[in-house]
Amino acid sequence: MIRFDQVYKRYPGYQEALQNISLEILPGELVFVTGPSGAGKSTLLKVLSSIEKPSSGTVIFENFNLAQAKDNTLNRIRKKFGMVFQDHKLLYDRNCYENVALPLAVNNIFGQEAEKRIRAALDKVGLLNKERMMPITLSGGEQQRLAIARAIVCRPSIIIADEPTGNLDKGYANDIMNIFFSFQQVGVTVIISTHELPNIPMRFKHIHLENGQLKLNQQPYDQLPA
Amino acid sequence: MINYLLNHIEALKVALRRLFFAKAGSLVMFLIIGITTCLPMSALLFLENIKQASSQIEYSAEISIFLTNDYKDDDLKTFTSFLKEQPIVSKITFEKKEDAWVKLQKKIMIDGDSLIEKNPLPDSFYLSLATLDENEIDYLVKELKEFAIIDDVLLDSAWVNKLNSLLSLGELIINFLGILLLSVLAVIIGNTIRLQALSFKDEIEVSKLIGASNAFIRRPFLYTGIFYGIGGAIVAIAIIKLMIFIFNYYAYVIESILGFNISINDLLTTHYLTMIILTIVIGWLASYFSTNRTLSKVKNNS
Ligand SMILES: Nc1ncnc2c1ncn2[C@@H]1O[C@H](COP(=O)(O)OP(=O)(O)OP(=O)(O)O)[C@@H](O)[C@H]1O
Ligand SMILES: [Mg+2]
Repeated sequence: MIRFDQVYKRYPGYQEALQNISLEILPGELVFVTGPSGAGKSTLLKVLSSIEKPSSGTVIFENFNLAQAKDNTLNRIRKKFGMVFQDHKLLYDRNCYENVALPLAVNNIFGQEAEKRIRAALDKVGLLNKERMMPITLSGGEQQRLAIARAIVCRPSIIIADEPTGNLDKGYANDIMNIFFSFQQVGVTVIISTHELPNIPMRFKHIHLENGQLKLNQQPYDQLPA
Repeated sequence: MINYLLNHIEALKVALRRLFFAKAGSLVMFLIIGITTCLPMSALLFLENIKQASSQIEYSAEISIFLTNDYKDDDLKTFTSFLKEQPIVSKITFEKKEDAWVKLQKKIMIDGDSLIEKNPLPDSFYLSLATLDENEIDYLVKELKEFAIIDDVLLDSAWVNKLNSLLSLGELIINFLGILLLSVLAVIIGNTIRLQALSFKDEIEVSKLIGASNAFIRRPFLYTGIFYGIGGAIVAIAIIKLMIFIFNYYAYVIESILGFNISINDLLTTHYLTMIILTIVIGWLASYFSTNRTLSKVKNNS
């Protein structure tokens, strides 16, 4: 479970990117974070995944206050998240297989076990036949899927995806969304941000940000009072 | 434990891949480090060979002893037996003043006329010594001067002392040069690794974002630094061996004309080992500090 309590985030020399955010994300939820460009979506996801520390307020994850945790603790916590970054952050000097291998290496997983997991992750996103290709030769949608494969290869209990359908056309975007849905169905917490305002099904939690402020915190319908 | 080992093997692989990925750059680094290391090493080679040559002419240390004009035969006997007991004296020659006079006259005779009428020379001993050790020689000279029959003692080994002090000055200069060039190496390697780490900024950033520790990120760069050290050391050894080979090849031809040995000897294995260890340590240290700098930079940006 993740809990934000009156979280503010101020970048040095900048106005507040997050203002007074309080919210809760339960295990197994699929959460959409929406809002126009510059609303603070990426910032929210970064604070949530302990990449950025909040300027004030508390962020509780598994009994740790991320605002005050030490570097070692933060490293350990980050390993529990599967991150899909807005700009992919793929490594262009390595092939697809090696890109997906990176999180496993960080977690000390090598050899046959690693091989098995990398193939499974690539298979999941439909890139198994391209494992030896360099990311630069992949299409935008394929690069996005490669980034997802890298995020899921360590079997995280939480997946955080920052605009994973960014510049993709509808067909691709649906493919990618389906991958995330399938993860939620096996109990993984999934948090997805998007600047478009798709029709978000009622069964998902919906957080809407504008100018760093929480404008909507819509609970999934199964949690609404009857 | 096995994971820790695998982690290192993986870092090693990554370092090797980067090395091969930038073949030309790696080669240039090897050459720079190799040539830089070569400079103090060839100076050392030169010095070591001079040392060896100077130790081969150990019998050149000589003492000339001039006796008083009116000593007793008994005193001479005592003195001679004293000389014979000295372990560092390898050869004793006694020259009567008459013989020395004949020799001298031959030398200074002009048109059959001697310039000097009366023999000014005393009886004398010439000692060849089996050592170059200053302390031993000084001690012997002091002992000799105690004898009443002795008028004067001349030590011909002064030049040996000069050579010895020149050699230790040379050693000092080599040490200084070595330290200077090692710091140059540290700067070169550090800077290269820093640029390299900068070009791997993305990877460092991603790794940090997904929870890699600094040690994990640093590891491949440390191996790269170590490989630079090893590669440079190999180049340095190759250059020095080649230098020796070429020199001795021509020396062999010239020797037959000169009639004596001028070929140079190789450095000791310990010299080479010290050099390899030093370049490796420098490579490791330099990459450690430069990677740290990059790491702290990436942290501030994310
Ligand atoms: N590292 C940073 N330093 C300074 N200001 C930042 C930094 N990152 C974000 N900001 C600012 O904080 C605000 C929120 O940025 P954020 O990236 O969270 O928006 P976003 O909702 O993700 O936008 P987009 O849809 O374009 O990705 C923006 O105004 C941005 O300029
Ligand atoms: Mg964003």
